[in-house]
Amino acid sequence: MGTRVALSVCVVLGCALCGRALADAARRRAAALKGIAEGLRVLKIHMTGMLEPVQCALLSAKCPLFAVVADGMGEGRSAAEAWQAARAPAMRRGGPAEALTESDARVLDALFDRLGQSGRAEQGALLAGTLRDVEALWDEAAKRSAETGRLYTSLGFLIGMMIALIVV
Amino acid sequence: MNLDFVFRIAGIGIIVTVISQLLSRAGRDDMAMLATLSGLVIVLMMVVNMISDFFNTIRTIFAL
Amino acid sequence: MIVRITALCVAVAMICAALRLQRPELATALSLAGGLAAVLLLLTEAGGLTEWVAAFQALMPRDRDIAAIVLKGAGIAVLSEMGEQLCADAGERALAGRIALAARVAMLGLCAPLIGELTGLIGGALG
Repeated sequence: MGTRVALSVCVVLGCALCGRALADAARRRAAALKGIAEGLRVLKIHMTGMLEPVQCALLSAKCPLFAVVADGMGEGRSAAEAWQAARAPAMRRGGPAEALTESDARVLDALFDRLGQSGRAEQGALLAGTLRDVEALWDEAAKRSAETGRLYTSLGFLIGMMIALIVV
Repeated sequence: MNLDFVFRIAGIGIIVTVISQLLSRAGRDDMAMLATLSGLVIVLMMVVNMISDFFNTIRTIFAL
Repeated sequence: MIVRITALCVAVAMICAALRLQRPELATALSLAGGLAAVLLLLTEAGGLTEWVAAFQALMPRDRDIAAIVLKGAGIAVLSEMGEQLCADAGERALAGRIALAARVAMLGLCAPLIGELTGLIGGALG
């Protein structure tokens, strides 16, 4: 009897954790967008406040994705060219933008296309506008992550209970 | 005779109902329908054995 | 035994009442399972049912056919009543009616030799 109860509990917990793991993609997207929003805030300070060059400001932003773009600029390329070269590898499995969707990437396309191409005021407006867009995407991703997490964890728990009832 | 079987079927029925409700509320009505059908198939497979036992018992006792 | 059967049926009825609101098909399947379990419990644990059947057959040593007919009739009644009530609970009254019709036809077929004998006896008695 004790063995059966222990086995049932293991099955239920295992399935609940599997459900939670399935919802991980949504959570990682929200975390990536949060990191980009924080990086944009720091980037704005360094570019429009401290008037640093684009490559230094990108490195100072402490965002893994911006660091990849900054590395790409080391060969004399513009931010737009460095981003276009780094976009596909960054969005592949294991890259810093792995969890981002195509619509998230289009916001970054709009940012890097014009980054470092105009005066201080225009750059400030560009960064503020991109920050607003990224924060909106982050809100939506955080909500979806919470809902998906709850849904898949509950589904995993219930399916685990069903398996325990049928098999154990 | 072991009556756990009936309460297992009841438990599965309740769990399938909850899963179906969760999926409907999450806007996945097609998955909810699939979950209900799967639950029904599992329950009916469990009941088929009982039906077989029942008919054999009736045939044996009443010599039908 | 009666306590177990009553407790089982009451418990299943309450669960079915809750399930029927959301998933009537699962409630019907559960009701079927509960009913089968109750009848199986009754038939297999009712003290000495098979001995009673054998004793009933032994009471009529020359007319074993009649004993067999009576027992078969009882079996058909149990089966058909279960099936009819299940179909009626599921809302399929037409199907329940078909089961009742089939049970009547089966009983008639079962009693046909007896009816023939009885008709012959009456005819002989009247002249």
